[in-house]
Amino acid sequence: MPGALGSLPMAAPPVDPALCVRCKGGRNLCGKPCYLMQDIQAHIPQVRLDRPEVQGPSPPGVFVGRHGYPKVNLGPLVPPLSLEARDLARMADSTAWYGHSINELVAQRSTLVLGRRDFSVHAARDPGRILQSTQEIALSDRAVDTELRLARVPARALGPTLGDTVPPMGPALEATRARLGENPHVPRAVDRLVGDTDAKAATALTELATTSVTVDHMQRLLSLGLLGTAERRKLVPTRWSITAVDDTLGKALLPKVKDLPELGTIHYHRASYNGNHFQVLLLPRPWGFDMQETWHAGSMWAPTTQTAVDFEEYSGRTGYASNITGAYYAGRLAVLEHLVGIGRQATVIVVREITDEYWAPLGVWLIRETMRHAMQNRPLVFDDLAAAVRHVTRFSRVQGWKENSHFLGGVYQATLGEFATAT
Amino acid sequence: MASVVANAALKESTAMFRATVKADVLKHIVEATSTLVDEAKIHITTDGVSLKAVDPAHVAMVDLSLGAKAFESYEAGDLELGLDLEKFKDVLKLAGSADTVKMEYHKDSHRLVMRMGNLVRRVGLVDTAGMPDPKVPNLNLPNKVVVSAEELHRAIKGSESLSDHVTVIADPEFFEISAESDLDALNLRLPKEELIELEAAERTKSMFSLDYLSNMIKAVRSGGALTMHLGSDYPVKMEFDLADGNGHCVYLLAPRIETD
Repeated sequence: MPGALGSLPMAAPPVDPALCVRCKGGRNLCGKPCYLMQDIQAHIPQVRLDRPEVQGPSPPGVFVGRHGYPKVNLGPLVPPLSLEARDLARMADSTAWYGHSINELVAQRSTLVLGRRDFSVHAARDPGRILQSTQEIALSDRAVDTELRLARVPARALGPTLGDTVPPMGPALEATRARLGENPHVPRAVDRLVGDTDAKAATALTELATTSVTVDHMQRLLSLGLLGTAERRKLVPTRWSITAVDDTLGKALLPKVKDLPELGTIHYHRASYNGNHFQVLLLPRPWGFDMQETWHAGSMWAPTTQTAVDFEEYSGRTGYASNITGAYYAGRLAVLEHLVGIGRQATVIVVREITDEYWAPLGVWLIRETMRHAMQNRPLVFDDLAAAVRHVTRFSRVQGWKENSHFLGGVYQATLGEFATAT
Repeated sequence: MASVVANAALKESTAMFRATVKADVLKHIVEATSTLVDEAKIHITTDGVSLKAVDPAHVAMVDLSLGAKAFESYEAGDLELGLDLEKFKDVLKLAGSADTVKMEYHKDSHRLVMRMGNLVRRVGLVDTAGMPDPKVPNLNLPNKVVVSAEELHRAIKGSESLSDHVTVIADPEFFEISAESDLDALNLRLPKEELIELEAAERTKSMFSLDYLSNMIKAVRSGGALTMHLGSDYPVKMEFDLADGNGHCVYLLAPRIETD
């Protein structure tokens, strides 16, 4: 599977690569079926089913598709084969996925069958059978034995379902029934906030963030309309709910960070995982966040090298980070968690580089988890910006990464504290 | 010990504020301050009122004072009041610019009672305990330019569609503001004789954020003159009078700096 990109067309790409890195197969910006996604799909193992019943432990996994909104299709993810306990634990949560190879993750995730059905987004409060079972799986923090009955047995082996934001999964098939073989294991904090129909979704998420409930679990709850004030609970497509959770948790941390003293020196962090290389600079200035990602030639979305940049100054963004999309909010959350942890604010510069080792999209959890690991590593400390910049350059293959940066490239906003002494 | 107690008692007894002022003067102060902060700590003494505030990003600062003469009547002791500026702005909308506003601090309810004609508005105050007392940095700014606010207004307005910052040059012979985008450019050059005053021994150049600059220059109001003290890649200090010369506003704004 690695080296799958060797089969990418060498002639001029049929779509402008600059469009592809912003779209990542997920926004249909070119208006055609994604040729890059088709190529990736062709390299992932297929699932063959011989019966309409699919029974196995859902990791727990659920999916809400966005096509046809405000109608959505949703259901549980169930593996058709019994899994080793070890494999299952590995599939449960993105915090556990980190460190595993891309081949391993793609192979395991693409066996999960999505048994889906259409629902109105407003069905969350008055769920039908399949929705109710899916909600129960969403509540659980452990695998739940689940039985799906499919509308028909597919005649051929089926390929995976991929997106840039969501983790890979197996084929999506219409289901007529979904039943749980055991009770879901629901953490107490989840039970309490799902039962609280006066708390806004943002409030509930912020509160869950103070417990051991993971970002994935929060995202499942939000997606299945299990959080928020009673009359506003709605189903939210998985892709949107992932970014909504990252953004909401980040926004809740921001006022805290802005109250913290500035970092005294420059910190440098680094981590690499599955062909994704992150370098992070924390500068001793007021809060600001600047992220660039460069898809090197031959990597998933880029027949030729492409860079995208999004940033926010102290006062924050007013619009969606439409160049980097979900990865921006996942990266920002990881950095904000770290700043709260060390009790400092800083201007943050993230340089992400992607090579052809990253041959299938794994979802934005990869950005969140790799960034979290980068921040956990002990920082290299610099007093001098020029030296810190040289260090990033040494590990970067991007010509002009500094020029791409909003805070380092063009013009940066100084603060009054940088001038003269107070009288 | 006894004298400390006596002092405290004295301070308590003078913690009063009763004044009448044109609504327009208050509106001007709030306008000049609220571009930088949402809340401000107002220092009140027998001589007048003043405030200092730094915006949350530490990019700009306002240092504003209003003498007792700016008021139609003024009686006050030493006092600090915390104002929610957005709320205060809304309250002032109840008064026309030519109206007068009577203000009185009610210690017991910790409110500022404002009377506009027969309308009485009691304004709850904000706790000043957490509000910083910013120090005004001592800046060495070689050049001085005095220019009409109207000229600046036009240049700033024109620049906003091109860029998020402008370049400001003070030269022995002229003063210049310019902005550029990939395709377009704007430039306002005022020769020495068209300026109210120009004292520039050497040429200096700094860049400033339009977000900040535009709001600050709006606060000068048309017809007014603005004094700018400038250096190279250095903050600008801008000063202007308010309340017919009985008040004074100073802004400091940190520059944008080219990193290469």
